[in-house]
Amino acid sequence: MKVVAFHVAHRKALPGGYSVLRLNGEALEAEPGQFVMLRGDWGFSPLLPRPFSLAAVEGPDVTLLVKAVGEGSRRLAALQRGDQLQVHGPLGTAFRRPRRDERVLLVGGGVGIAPLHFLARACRPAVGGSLVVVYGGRSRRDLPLAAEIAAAAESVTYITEDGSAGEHGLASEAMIDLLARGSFDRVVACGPWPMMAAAAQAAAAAGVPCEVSLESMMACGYGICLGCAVPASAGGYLYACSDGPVVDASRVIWTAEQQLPSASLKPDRPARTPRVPRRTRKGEGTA
Amino acid sequence: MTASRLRIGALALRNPVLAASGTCGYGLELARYFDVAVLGGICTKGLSLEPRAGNPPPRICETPAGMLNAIGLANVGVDAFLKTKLPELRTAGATVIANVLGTSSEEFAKLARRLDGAPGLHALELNLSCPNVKEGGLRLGTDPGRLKEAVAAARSATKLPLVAKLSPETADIGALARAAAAGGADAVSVMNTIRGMSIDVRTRRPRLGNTLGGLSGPAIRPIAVRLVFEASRAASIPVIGVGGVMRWEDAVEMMLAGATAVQVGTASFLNPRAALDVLEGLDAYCRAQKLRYDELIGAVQVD
Repeated sequence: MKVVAFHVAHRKALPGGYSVLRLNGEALEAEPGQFVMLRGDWGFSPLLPRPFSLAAVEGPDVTLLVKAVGEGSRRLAALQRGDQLQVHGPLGTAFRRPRRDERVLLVGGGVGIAPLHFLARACRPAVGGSLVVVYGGRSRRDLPLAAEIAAAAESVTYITEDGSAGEHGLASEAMIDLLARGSFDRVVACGPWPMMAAAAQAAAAAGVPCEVSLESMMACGYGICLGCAVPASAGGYLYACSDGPVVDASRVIWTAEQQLPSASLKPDRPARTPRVPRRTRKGEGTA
Repeated sequence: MTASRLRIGALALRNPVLAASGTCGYGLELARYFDVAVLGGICTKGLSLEPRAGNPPPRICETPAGMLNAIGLANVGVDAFLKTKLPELRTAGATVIANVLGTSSEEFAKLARRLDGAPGLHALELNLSCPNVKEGGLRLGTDPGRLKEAVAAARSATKLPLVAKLSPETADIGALARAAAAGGADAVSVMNTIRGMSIDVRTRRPRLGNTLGGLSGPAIRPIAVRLVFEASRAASIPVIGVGGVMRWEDAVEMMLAGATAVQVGTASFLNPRAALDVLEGLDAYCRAQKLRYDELIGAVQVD
């Protein structure tokens, strides 16, 4: 792990505020599922680096999928060829490498498709094995890397909430259908919290192991800020950066509402009625 | 460069750049990136008598040139620290300053007694300033009488050099620094985070699960510089400057204001090598200016 200066080799703007960034620096020994913290040379506001799952790593090039949601990701999405940025990584845990004959169901939503893309490209299954993908988004504009994931997988089911591309519905619904029809050895899910929660539940009901890649606000990415806490089924919290991002879905309490920065999950849904802020929890401090 | 004047009680610092509590884990996390023995010291994550899981998420949010955190002092507890963390830090050759969190004088005394004489431990930093702890915390840390009592309780339980970490939320930092000295502290660190709040205007909810959090980062540096200036003029013990030190220039600024040493905190979130970078920059500056570290302390020219 280290922090290395990379430069933007290529940026491809996609509909829906997505960009595919190809950065050139030095070879990272990264596994699918791992992430990097990214920061441009823009002074101290915004302050923190941003976490991004690796969508591909080839020699000194890394590919990332960025959606402009807040100030930091907007700046990253607006980078131009040649711009410098600091890349810290690779960080966190990786997906378990599929066995050659393993039948794996990948379930992705939005930018969550990035690490699944890396996994699908890095792990072409052999005879008897398969990589089947369910790829969901709010609309057809929310399916970046659709062609790329199709090229890497055996089959892809697209599904959108508004029906503007593929099937009409939720990724978890398509996943439940596939689990009922085919037999899979493992589910790998990455996307918004409700999607992963549904995937975890469906996989558990089908008796299929499920790996997820957790997303959370984080300041550091390497286990020191303790900001990226996710409620753990064993009690206490998992840290998305250092216990994850890839964890077995059974280790997470999915019923807990994981509050990500609202911009990344619910950009267009203001609360209808004002709510009184919850009281500060007595006895718990800040540090 | 001589470090002769860089002392916290009996502890001679090899240089004035430390890693701040809560931003370097137990030091071992930084050791994956550089040799932590070269730093002036490592201030560990705040340790409590029992392990703490911390607050429900979201625990952090970003603010202009800063961030709010409400981690809730998640830590492994003092016993696990002694068993699993300190031996590794000792092997790494780090100067270890254990940050401890008590909610009362009695707890500070218990923590100090538990840590007293631990091989590889060089000093204690008493967290007298955590915002929002029901007992102790700010209420203990902003009342000079109670602060003095808590420091004295720890003092009576250990021979280790003691640093009292002070809150910025006071009208008279000098009085707190003097109270810490009177209680037997060998130094004060100034400052802890300052309480803040941020609201998501779309959801109309606080952006932190704990509603309130501590503000850190470059946004608070001018506050820290002012408090270091005031505390160092009011008290006879050394002041360690903490708050928004991102670059070596910020360390020089803190020292000019009166700091004997500085702690690098939030900057380590941006870059694990931040404290080392600050130290190397400070060293290069001192070499170029032909200065000893201690010649910077309080050297601000005020008419």
